[in-house]
Amino acid sequence: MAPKRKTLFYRGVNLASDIGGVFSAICMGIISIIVAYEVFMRYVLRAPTTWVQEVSIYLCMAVGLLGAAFALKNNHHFSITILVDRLSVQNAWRIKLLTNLMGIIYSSIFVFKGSQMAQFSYVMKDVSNGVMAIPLWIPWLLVPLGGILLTLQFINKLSDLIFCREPEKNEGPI
Amino acid sequence: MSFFVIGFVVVFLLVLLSGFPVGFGLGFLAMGLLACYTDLDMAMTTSVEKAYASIDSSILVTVSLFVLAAQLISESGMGKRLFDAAKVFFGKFHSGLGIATIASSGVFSAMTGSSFVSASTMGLIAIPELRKAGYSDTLISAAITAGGSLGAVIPPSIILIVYGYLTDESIGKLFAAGMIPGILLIILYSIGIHLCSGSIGLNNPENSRDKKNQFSDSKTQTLDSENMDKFTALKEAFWGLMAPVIILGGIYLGIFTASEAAAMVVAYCIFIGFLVYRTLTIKKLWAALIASANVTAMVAMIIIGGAILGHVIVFGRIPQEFLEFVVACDFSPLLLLILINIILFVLGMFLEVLALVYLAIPLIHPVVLHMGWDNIWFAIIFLINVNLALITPPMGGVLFVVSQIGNISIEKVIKGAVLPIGILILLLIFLIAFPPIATWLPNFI
Repeated sequence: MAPKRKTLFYRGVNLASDIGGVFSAICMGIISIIVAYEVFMRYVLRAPTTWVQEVSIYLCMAVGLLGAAFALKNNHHFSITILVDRLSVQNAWRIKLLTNLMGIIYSSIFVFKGSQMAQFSYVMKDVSNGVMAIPLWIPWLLVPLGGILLTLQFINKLSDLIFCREPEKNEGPI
Repeated sequence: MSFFVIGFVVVFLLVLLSGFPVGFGLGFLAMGLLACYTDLDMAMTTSVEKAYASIDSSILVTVSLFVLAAQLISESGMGKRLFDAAKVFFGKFHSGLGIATIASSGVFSAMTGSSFVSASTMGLIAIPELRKAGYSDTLISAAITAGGSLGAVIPPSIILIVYGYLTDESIGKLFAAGMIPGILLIILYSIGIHLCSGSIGLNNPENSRDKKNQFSDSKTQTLDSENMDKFTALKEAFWGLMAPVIILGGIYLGIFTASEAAAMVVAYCIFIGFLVYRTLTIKKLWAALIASANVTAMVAMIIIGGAILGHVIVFGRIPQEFLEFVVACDFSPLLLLILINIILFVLGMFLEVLALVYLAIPLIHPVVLHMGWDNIWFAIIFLINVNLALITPPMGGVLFVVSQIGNISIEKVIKGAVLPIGILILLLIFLIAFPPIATWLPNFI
């Protein structure tokens, strides 16, 4: 069996997931501020904004996609373990190995197809329907970025299993 | 075809039960199915496009802001103050502490819209107090699971927001429709707790701190309550009670959209937490942001997986086939409604609630339209089924939250959940027999 030491790659992946988590939390804060600002502008100053709805949606996409690996690292994704918990250690290990491989395949598809779509939007100079006309390759880029973070985190989970390591887990990166 | 369906159901359950995160599991299965219908490249492209489209909407903004509001309400101590106030008002009655738990959970739900946050926050606050008063683990589980399940019914229910988004229904009207059933549930749960408190172990010596307290539940509560009069309790809880007023008042008066109402509550909680209660710190605010980012990411993955699966269901013409089957069978409306409820109940036993919403709505909504049923009325019926899914074994998420927080064995929690499950089924019967329970209030919006 390989050593249980956490490699530079392993720690780097966890750091990347943490950075994704921090970025998501900051985006959450910004969304709250700008949506409240929109209410203030509309009802107090009678000057509604044209950008808040669009920006808040894209920021929320960033929260969901870039925070997914961080949530995976901290085991925050809802999962049902009723079957795995009743299996023998060996069989549970096999099932976990299989599900992590499925996770790698699933998130790799988002990297592969997401980058194609982002590139397509960039070439076609696609912009959003809103007044801001945000180039759509920017939000599309979140798909492969989130996919990369997720793929790497699934690889980390897989290596935890293979090398029988205790997974690194913390509630908050800071 | 039936072979295909059975095979799909078996694989579906295996993937979901394997411990693979539900959102990823739904998406992975849906991609596989789509690849069977079309080809791999097309399946991958379509799935990623659907994934993007599913989160490119204000639904995730609304849900994430309500999640953040819930975290802040929890961190700022509003929940504790609400519970203390309810304790002062109900504590003098026999089983008053259980009723106080239900009542404060109801108000808490009206701020957060989330069953999990409601169950975990109220669980942390109420379980030690209930234990101190000698409540048995079963009765504690009954009170907390009942209170937690209110989060899915009482506006601003996150499930109703998703339902409104998927069926293009007014969220304001849906919230109004959930109001009377929510209040009815609070009353029925309180009566249920009161009636059961004599028979299922109130003042259980195992849980009492000393045996003298065995027959003095109300006395224990009165002693606690004596420290605070009703006016002080109301004054303490006032700011917490104002949060639902802002959310619901703002939406019903047309001042805010649902996401704006959530943002206003976030701003309100920060203001109250920092300047009035002075319980919120920068560290706690950051913890709330991190926690809500985590939950939002989880919800986003379920929305993505559900949206891909929803597309596969529509692409495979399953809703049309289901509708044709329903038309061919020529069921009476009542029988059909009962059958749908049974299907939803069984699905709810095995599915996470958002997954249930995304899977069931594309299938059932065409039937609702075909039968000419009121969509708002059906939304509440659907919601009660979702509620049942939250507290029904083997997958009821709230059961595990209560078990973990209260350090109560899952068997005892399930035994305790029988009471709210029974009451929810009773409410379902009421709703089917008397639709105005859900449809009367939305007429005024």
